[in-house]
Amino acid sequence: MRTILIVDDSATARRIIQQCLEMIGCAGYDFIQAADGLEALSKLREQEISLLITDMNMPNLDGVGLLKAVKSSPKLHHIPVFVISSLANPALENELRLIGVNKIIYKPASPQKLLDGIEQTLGKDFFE
Amino acid sequence: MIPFPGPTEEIIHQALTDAFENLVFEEVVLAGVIQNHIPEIFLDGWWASIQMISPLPWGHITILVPNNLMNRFTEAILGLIDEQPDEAQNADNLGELLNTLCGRLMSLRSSPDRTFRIGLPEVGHGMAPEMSGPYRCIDCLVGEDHVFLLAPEAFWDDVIWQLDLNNC
Repeated sequence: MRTILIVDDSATARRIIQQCLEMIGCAGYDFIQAADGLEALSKLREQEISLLITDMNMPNLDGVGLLKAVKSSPKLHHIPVFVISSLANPALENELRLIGVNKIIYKPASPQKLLDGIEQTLGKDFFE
Repeated sequence: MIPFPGPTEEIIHQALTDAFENLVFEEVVLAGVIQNHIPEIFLDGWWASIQMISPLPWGHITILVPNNLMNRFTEAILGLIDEQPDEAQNADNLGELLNTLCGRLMSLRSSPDRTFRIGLPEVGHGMAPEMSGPYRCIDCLVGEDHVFLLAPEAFWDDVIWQLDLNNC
């Protein structure tokens, strides 16, 4: 069973992302959610995550801080990461790609954007 | 007399359309621009505000939404049927709507190589916080309801957007 961690300070955004994923074939997956980077790190250490999807602009620990922590951790750095943000622009995209982000999606999220992202970066095998 | 709609209003309309059509499935029509004033028809409702931090800390962008329309937005976003939206749902949804809108505004207004940063949304009900300097109030129609978007005057200043602020 795959587990997807969705990180966003907005409950609405987390709900929309989960609904989009369920619509494209992830309905049977486990979803867990976190409201900021600190909560996400705690959940990442508790269980195996197949895909991390995070916002950038969050309180306590923002998306860049979370991603740097994940990508510098020997136990977590293999986890594929999607960023879904309203802040994405080419300059920030370069920084995120250097950190190791697999896919950057501009808000608002949609099922098609997530499907394209998963197929392009993780392959169709991601869908069980 | 301010030419309306000018290129900046067209950017604002594009950003509003992207955010509203995707999140709340509503069309937006620009009705006018008012300087340094919020029309009295906005007597009571929801507001959300986000600080623009970089490339220039030039103030806040604020959105004002009447109560009945905010409830409709939340019903659309959450797919509520026979259920009245609660205050926490409205607050979270308006914050996310403005966050998405500000990201689109900055992307459309900035050059592609410019990094920008915005703050976290503050949301409330009732009187919106006062703008810290000169601003324009964009009057938008969503169906028959008015939504107002307040943006600092500097948002219209092309010179500011052309400066190499990343190196300041």
